[in-house]
Amino acid sequence: MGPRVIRAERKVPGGKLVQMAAGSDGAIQLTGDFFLYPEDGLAGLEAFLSSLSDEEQDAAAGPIREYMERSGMRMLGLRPEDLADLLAEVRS
Amino acid sequence: MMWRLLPFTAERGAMNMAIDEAVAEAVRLDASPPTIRFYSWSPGAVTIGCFQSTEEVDVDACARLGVDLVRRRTGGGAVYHDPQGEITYSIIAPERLFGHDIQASYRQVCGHVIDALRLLGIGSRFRPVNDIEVGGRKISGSAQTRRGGVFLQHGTLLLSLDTERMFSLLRPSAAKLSNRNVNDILTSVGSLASASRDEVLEALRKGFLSSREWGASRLMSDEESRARELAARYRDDDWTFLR
Repeated sequence: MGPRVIRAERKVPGGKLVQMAAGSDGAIQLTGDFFLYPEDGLAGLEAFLSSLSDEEQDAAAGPIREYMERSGMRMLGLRPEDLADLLAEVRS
Repeated sequence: MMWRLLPFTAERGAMNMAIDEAVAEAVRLDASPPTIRFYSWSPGAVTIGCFQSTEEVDVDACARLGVDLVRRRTGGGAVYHDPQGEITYSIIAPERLFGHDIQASYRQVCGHVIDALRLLGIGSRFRPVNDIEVGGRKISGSAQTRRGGVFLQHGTLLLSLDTERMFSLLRPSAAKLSNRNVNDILTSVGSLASASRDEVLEALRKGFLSSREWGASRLMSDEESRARELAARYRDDDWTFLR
Protein backbone atom coordinates (compact mmCIF):
# COMPACT_ATOMS: atom_id res chain seq x y z
CA MET A 1 0.00 0.00 0.00
CA GLY A 2 1.52 3.34 -1.07
CA PRO A 3 1.57 6.60 0.83
CA ARG A 4 -1.84 8.20 1.36
CA VAL A 5 -2.67 10.93 -1.14
CA ILE A 6 -5.74 13.14 -0.84
CA ARG A 7 -7.05 14.54 -4.12
CA ALA A 8 -9.56 17.21 -4.97
CA GLU A 9 -10.60 18.75 -8.25
CA ARG A 10 -12.96 21.37 -9.51
CA LYS A 11 -14.05 22.98 -12.71
CA VAL A 12 -13.54 26.64 -12.04
CA PRO A 13 -15.51 29.56 -13.52
CA GLY A 14 -14.45 29.79 -17.14
CA GLY A 15 -14.31 26.02 -17.49
CA LYS A 16 -10.77 25.10 -16.50
CA LEU A 17 -10.20 21.89 -14.55
CA VAL A 18 -7.82 22.13 -11.59
CA GLN A 19 -6.70 19.13 -9.58
CA MET A 20 -4.79 19.20 -6.31
CA ALA A 21 -3.11 16.28 -4.56
CA ALA A 22 -1.71 16.36 -1.04
CA GLY A 23 0.77 13.67 -0.05
CA SER A 24 1.10 12.28 3.45
CA ASP A 25 4.17 14.50 3.84
CA GLY A 26 2.05 17.57 3.09
CA ALA A 27 3.50 18.11 -0.38
CA ILE A 28 1.02 19.67 -2.79
CA GLN A 29 0.89 18.90 -6.49
CA LEU A 30 -1.23 20.83 -8.98
CA THR A 31 -2.38 19.48 -12.32
CA GLY A 32 -4.95 20.63 -14.84
CA ASP A 33 -5.63 22.60 -17.98
CA PHE A 34 -5.16 26.05 -16.49
CA PHE A 35 -2.58 28.62 -17.58
CA LEU A 36 0.20 29.89 -15.35
CA TYR A 37 2.86 32.40 -16.40
CA PRO A 38 5.73 31.82 -16.28
CA GLU A 39 5.18 28.07 -16.49
CA ASP A 40 8.41 27.37 -14.63
CA GLY A 41 6.85 28.96 -11.57
CA LEU A 42 4.60 25.99 -10.85
CA ALA A 43 7.12 24.19 -8.63
CA GLY A 44 7.54 27.32 -6.52
CA LEU A 45 3.80 27.76 -6.20
CA GLU A 46 3.40 24.13 -5.14
CA ALA A 47 6.15 24.56 -2.55
CA PHE A 48 4.46 27.69 -1.24
CA LEU A 49 1.10 25.92 -0.94
CA SER A 50 2.81 23.03 0.82
CA SER A 51 4.37 25.40 3.32
CA LEU A 52 1.17 27.09 4.45
CA SER A 53 0.30 26.36 8.06
CA ASP A 54 -3.12 25.12 9.15
CA GLU A 55 -3.98 28.62 10.37
CA GLU A 56 -2.95 30.20 7.08
CA GLN A 57 -4.97 27.67 5.12
CA ASP A 58 -8.18 29.02 6.63
CA ALA A 59 -7.71 32.22 4.65
CA ALA A 60 -5.21 31.14 2.05
CA ALA A 61 -6.46 33.19 -0.88
CA GLY A 62 -4.77 36.37 0.38
CA PRO A 63 -1.34 34.79 0.94
CA ILE A 64 -1.57 33.01 -2.42
CA ARG A 65 -2.37 36.28 -4.17
CA GLU A 66 0.53 37.98 -2.39
CA TYR A 67 2.86 35.13 -3.37
CA MET A 68 1.80 35.42 -7.01
CA GLU A 69 2.38 39.18 -7.04
CA ARG A 70 5.71 38.87 -5.25
CA SER A 71 6.84 36.21 -7.72
CA GLY A 72 5.60 38.05 -10.80
CA MET A 73 3.33 35.13 -11.64
CA ARG A 74 0.00 35.34 -13.40
CA MET A 75 -2.80 32.81 -13.66
CA LEU A 76 -5.43 32.59 -16.36
CA GLY A 77 -8.58 30.57 -15.90
CA LEU A 78 -7.78 30.11 -12.22
CA ARG A 79 -8.03 32.35 -9.15
CA PRO A 80 -6.27 32.27 -5.77
CA GLU A 81 -9.69 31.57 -4.24
CA ASP A 82 -9.92 28.34 -6.27
CA LEU A 83 -6.56 27.18 -4.98
CA ALA A 84 -7.52 28.14 -1.42
CA ASP A 85 -10.74 26.13 -1.65
CA LEU A 86 -8.91 23.09 -3.01
CA LEU A 87 -6.28 23.40 -0.31
CA ALA A 88 -8.94 23.42 2.37
CA GLU A 89 -10.49 20.34 0.81
CA VAL A 90 -7.34 18.24 0.59
CA ARG A 91 -6.22 19.24 4.09
CA SER A 92 -9.57 18.79 5.80
CA MET B 1 8.08 44.64 -39.07
CA MET B 2 8.52 41.89 -41.66
CA TRP B 3 6.94 38.54 -40.78
CA ARG B 4 7.90 35.13 -42.09
CA LEU B 5 5.36 32.56 -43.26
CA LEU B 6 6.66 29.00 -43.18
CA PRO B 7 5.38 26.36 -45.62
CA PHE B 8 2.56 24.07 -44.52
CA THR B 9 3.95 20.75 -43.33
CA ALA B 10 2.69 17.58 -41.66
CA GLU B 11 5.05 16.26 -38.99
CA ARG B 12 5.13 13.91 -36.05
CA GLY B 13 3.93 15.36 -32.77
CA ALA B 14 7.34 15.76 -31.18
CA MET B 15 8.72 17.49 -34.26
CA ASN B 16 5.81 19.90 -34.49
CA MET B 17 6.37 21.04 -30.92
CA ALA B 18 10.13 21.11 -31.44
CA ILE B 19 9.82 23.36 -34.51
CA ASP B 20 7.73 25.82 -32.51
CA GLU B 21 10.34 25.88 -29.77
CA ALA B 22 13.29 26.12 -32.17
CA VAL B 23 11.69 29.08 -33.93
CA ALA B 24 11.01 30.71 -30.55
CA GLU B 25 14.68 30.33 -29.65
CA ALA B 26 15.74 31.85 -32.96
CA VAL B 27 13.34 34.77 -32.48
CA ARG B 28 14.73 35.29 -28.97
CA LEU B 29 18.25 35.48 -30.40
CA ASP B 30 17.02 37.88 -33.10
CA ALA B 31 18.21 35.33 -35.66
CA SER B 32 14.73 34.87 -37.14
CA PRO B 33 11.88 37.27 -37.82
CA PRO B 34 8.43 36.95 -36.24
CA THR B 35 7.00 33.78 -37.70
CA ILE B 36 3.66 32.23 -38.55
CA ARG B 37 3.24 28.61 -39.52
CA PHE B 38 0.29 26.39 -40.32
CA TYR B 39 0.72 22.68 -39.98
CA SER B 40 -0.77 19.24 -39.54
CA TRP B 41 0.09 16.00 -37.75
CA SER B 42 1.23 12.73 -39.31
CA PRO B 43 0.35 10.41 -37.76
CA GLY B 44 -2.34 11.86 -35.51
CA ALA B 45 -1.25 13.00 -32.08
CA VAL B 46 -2.58 13.73 -28.64
CA THR B 47 -0.98 16.72 -27.00
CA ILE B 48 -1.41 17.52 -23.33
CA GLY B 49 -0.85 20.77 -21.52
CA CYS B 50 2.36 21.23 -19.59
CA PHE B 51 0.50 21.12 -16.24
CA GLN B 52 -1.69 18.13 -17.06
CA SER B 53 -1.41 14.59 -15.81
CA THR B 54 -1.06 11.82 -18.39
CA GLU B 55 -4.05 10.28 -16.62
CA GLU B 56 -6.04 12.54 -18.96
CA VAL B 57 -5.01 10.25 -21.83
CA ASP B 58 -5.43 6.55 -22.58
CA VAL B 59 -1.74 5.91 -23.13
CA ASP B 60 -2.27 2.30 -24.19
CA ALA B 61 -4.85 3.35 -26.78
CA CYS B 62 -2.39 5.88 -28.23
CA ALA B 63 0.21 3.14 -28.63
CA ARG B 64 -2.31 0.67 -30.03
CA LEU B 65 -3.67 3.15 -32.59
CA GLY B 66 -0.29 4.56 -33.56
CA VAL B 67 -1.08 8.01 -32.21
CA ASP B 68 1.78 10.12 -30.87
CA LEU B 69 1.54 11.44 -27.32
CA VAL B 70 3.35 14.70 -26.65
CA ARG B 71 3.45 17.07 -23.70
CA ARG B 72 3.36 20.69 -24.87
CA ARG B 73 5.33 23.51 -23.31
CA THR B 74 2.09 25.49 -23.11
CA GLY B 75 -0.74 25.08 -20.62
CA GLY B 76 -4.31 24.19 -21.49
CA GLY B 77 -5.99 20.88 -22.09
CA ALA B 78 -5.57 17.60 -23.91
CA VAL B 79 -6.23 17.73 -27.64
CA TYR B 80 -6.51 15.03 -30.26
CA HIS B 81 -4.98 16.29 -33.51
CA ASP B 82 -6.48 14.29 -36.33
CA PRO B 83 -4.28 14.14 -39.46
CA GLN B 84 -7.14 15.29 -41.70
CA GLY B 85 -9.42 16.94 -39.19
CA GLU B 86 -7.75 20.21 -38.34
CA ILE B 87 -5.24 22.87 -39.22
CA THR B 88 -2.92 24.01 -36.46
CA TYR B 89 -1.32 27.44 -36.36
CA SER B 90 1.60 28.93 -34.47
CA ILE B 91 2.47 32.59 -34.15
CA ILE B 92 5.85 33.36 -32.63
CA ALA B 93 7.19 36.87 -32.09
CA PRO B 94 8.94 39.17 -29.65
CA GLU B 95 6.65 39.58 -26.65
CA ARG B 96 6.68 43.36 -26.99
CA LEU B 97 4.54 43.07 -30.13
CA PHE B 98 1.67 41.66 -28.08
CA GLY B 99 1.83 43.65 -24.85
CA HIS B 100 1.58 42.54 -21.24
CA ASP B 101 -2.12 41.71 -21.14
CA ILE B 102 -2.35 37.96 -21.72
CA GLN B 103 -6.10 37.78 -22.11
CA ALA B 104 -6.06 40.65 -24.61
CA SER B 105 -3.40 38.90 -26.67
CA TYR B 106 -5.44 35.69 -26.79
CA ARG B 107 -8.33 37.78 -28.09
CA GLN B 108 -6.05 39.45 -30.64
CA VAL B 109 -4.66 36.23 -32.09
CA CYS B 110 -7.99 34.42 -32.00
CA GLY B 111 -9.31 37.43 -33.92
CA HIS B 112 -7.23 36.27 -36.90
CA VAL B 113 -9.01 32.90 -36.85
CA ILE B 114 -12.35 34.67 -36.53
CA ASP B 115 -11.40 36.81 -39.56
CA ALA B 116 -10.55 33.64 -41.50
CA LEU B 117 -13.88 32.06 -40.61
CA ARG B 118 -15.65 35.23 -41.71
CA LEU B 119 -13.94 34.95 -45.10
CA LEU B 120 -15.48 31.47 -45.32
CA GLY B 121 -18.90 32.91 -44.51
CA ILE B 122 -18.96 31.66 -40.91
CA GLY B 123 -19.75 33.86 -37.95
CA SER B 124 -17.82 33.03 -34.81
CA ARG B 125 -16.87 34.65 -31.53
CA PHE B 126 -14.03 34.61 -29.04
CA ARG B 127 -14.86 32.76 -25.83
CA PRO B 128 -12.44 33.61 -23.02
CA VAL B 129 -10.05 32.29 -21.93
CA ASN B 130 -8.71 30.72 -25.11
CA ASP B 131 -11.46 29.39 -27.36
CA ILE B 132 -13.51 30.32 -30.42
CA GLU B 133 -17.06 29.15 -30.74
CA VAL B 134 -19.59 28.85 -33.51
CA GLY B 135 -23.19 28.62 -32.46
CA GLY B 136 -22.13 28.31 -28.84
CA ARG B 137 -19.80 25.40 -29.44
CA LYS B 138 -16.03 25.26 -29.49
CA ILE B 139 -14.38 25.04 -32.88
CA SER B 140 -10.92 26.35 -32.02
CA GLY B 141 -8.71 26.21 -28.95
CA SER B 142 -5.33 27.76 -28.30
CA ALA B 143 -2.51 27.96 -25.80
CA GLN B 144 0.10 30.62 -25.26
CA THR B 145 3.47 30.84 -23.58
CA ARG B 146 5.81 33.74 -22.99
CA ARG B 147 9.38 32.81 -22.24
CA GLY B 148 12.60 34.73 -22.59
CA GLY B 149 10.79 37.71 -24.07
CA VAL B 150 9.20 35.61 -26.81
CA PHE B 151 5.47 35.21 -27.37
CA LEU B 152 4.23 31.89 -28.77
CA GLN B 153 0.62 30.94 -29.32
CA HIS B 154 -0.48 27.80 -31.05
CA GLY B 155 -4.01 26.69 -31.68
CA THR B 156 -6.28 24.50 -33.76
CA LEU B 157 -9.11 25.02 -36.21
CA LEU B 158 -11.31 21.97 -36.60
CA LEU B 159 -12.31 20.80 -40.05
CA SER B 160 -13.84 17.48 -39.06
CA LEU B 161 -13.75 15.23 -36.06
CA ASP B 162 -13.49 11.49 -35.59
CA THR B 163 -15.45 11.46 -32.35
CA GLU B 164 -15.07 7.75 -31.73
CA ARG B 165 -11.31 7.93 -32.04
CA MET B 166 -11.08 11.06 -29.90
CA PHE B 167 -13.06 9.51 -27.08
CA SER B 168 -10.98 6.34 -27.30
CA LEU B 169 -7.82 8.39 -26.76
CA LEU B 170 -8.89 10.96 -24.18
CA ARG B 171 -10.16 9.90 -20.79
CA PRO B 172 -13.52 11.31 -19.76
CA SER B 173 -12.25 14.17 -17.62
CA ALA B 174 -10.22 15.39 -20.56
CA ALA B 175 -12.82 14.59 -23.16
CA LYS B 176 -15.45 16.65 -21.43
CA LEU B 177 -13.15 19.64 -21.75
CA SER B 178 -12.26 19.11 -25.33
CA ASN B 179 -14.51 19.46 -28.33
CA ARG B 180 -17.66 17.56 -27.50
CA ASN B 181 -20.70 18.14 -29.64
CA VAL B 182 -18.47 19.62 -32.28
CA ASN B 183 -19.87 17.29 -34.91
CA ASP B 184 -23.10 19.21 -34.51
CA ILE B 185 -21.23 22.35 -35.42
CA LEU B 186 -19.52 20.82 -38.38
CA THR B 187 -22.77 19.63 -39.85
CA SER B 188 -24.50 22.92 -39.16
CA VAL B 189 -21.64 25.07 -40.43
CA GLY B 190 -22.07 24.24 -44.06
CA SER B 191 -19.35 26.48 -45.40
CA LEU B 192 -16.62 24.99 -43.28
CA ALA B 193 -17.82 21.44 -43.88
CA SER B 194 -17.82 22.02 -47.63
CA ALA B 195 -14.61 24.05 -47.80
CA SER B 196 -11.49 22.20 -48.80
CA ARG B 197 -8.47 22.19 -46.55
CA ASP B 198 -6.70 24.45 -49.07
CA GLU B 199 -9.54 26.95 -48.95
CA VAL B 200 -9.48 27.01 -45.15
CA LEU B 201 -5.71 27.33 -45.20
CA GLU B 202 -5.90 30.26 -47.60
CA ALA B 203 -8.49 31.95 -45.40
CA LEU B 204 -6.24 31.47 -42.37
CA ARG B 205 -3.29 32.96 -44.22
CA LYS B 206 -5.34 36.01 -45.07
CA GLY B 207 -6.70 36.22 -41.53
CA PHE B 208 -3.25 36.19 -39.98
CA LEU B 209 -1.31 38.12 -42.61
CA SER B 210 -3.55 40.71 -44.25
CA SER B 211 -2.56 43.37 -41.72
CA ARG B 212 1.12 42.45 -41.75
CA GLU B 213 4.10 42.79 -44.07
CA TRP B 214 5.29 39.28 -44.73
CA GLY B 215 7.31 36.98 -46.93
CA ALA B 216 7.27 33.23 -47.43
CA SER B 217 10.45 31.36 -46.55
CA ARG B 218 11.64 28.12 -45.04
CA LEU B 219 13.15 27.19 -41.70
CA MET B 220 16.83 28.10 -41.49
CA SER B 221 19.20 25.16 -41.30
CA ASP B 222 20.08 26.11 -37.72
CA GLU B 223 16.42 26.00 -36.79
CA GLU B 224 16.00 22.61 -38.47
CA SER B 225 18.93 21.06 -36.66
CA ARG B 226 17.86 22.58 -33.34
CA ALA B 227 14.32 21.27 -33.89
CA ARG B 228 15.70 17.75 -34.39
CA GLU B 229 17.55 18.06 -31.07
CA LEU B 230 14.48 19.35 -29.26
CA ALA B 231 12.28 16.65 -30.77
CA ALA B 232 14.31 14.06 -28.86
CA ARG B 233 13.32 15.77 -25.63
CA TYR B 234 9.65 15.87 -26.64
CA ARG B 235 9.84 12.11 -27.30
CA ASP B 236 11.46 11.40 -23.94
CA ASP B 237 9.23 9.65 -21.40
CA ASP B 238 10.75 11.77 -18.62
CA TRP B 239 9.15 14.80 -20.26
CA THR B 240 5.94 13.14 -21.43
CA PHE B 241 5.19 11.56 -18.07
CA LEU B 242 6.43 14.48 -16.00
CA ARG B 243 3.05 14.61 -14.24
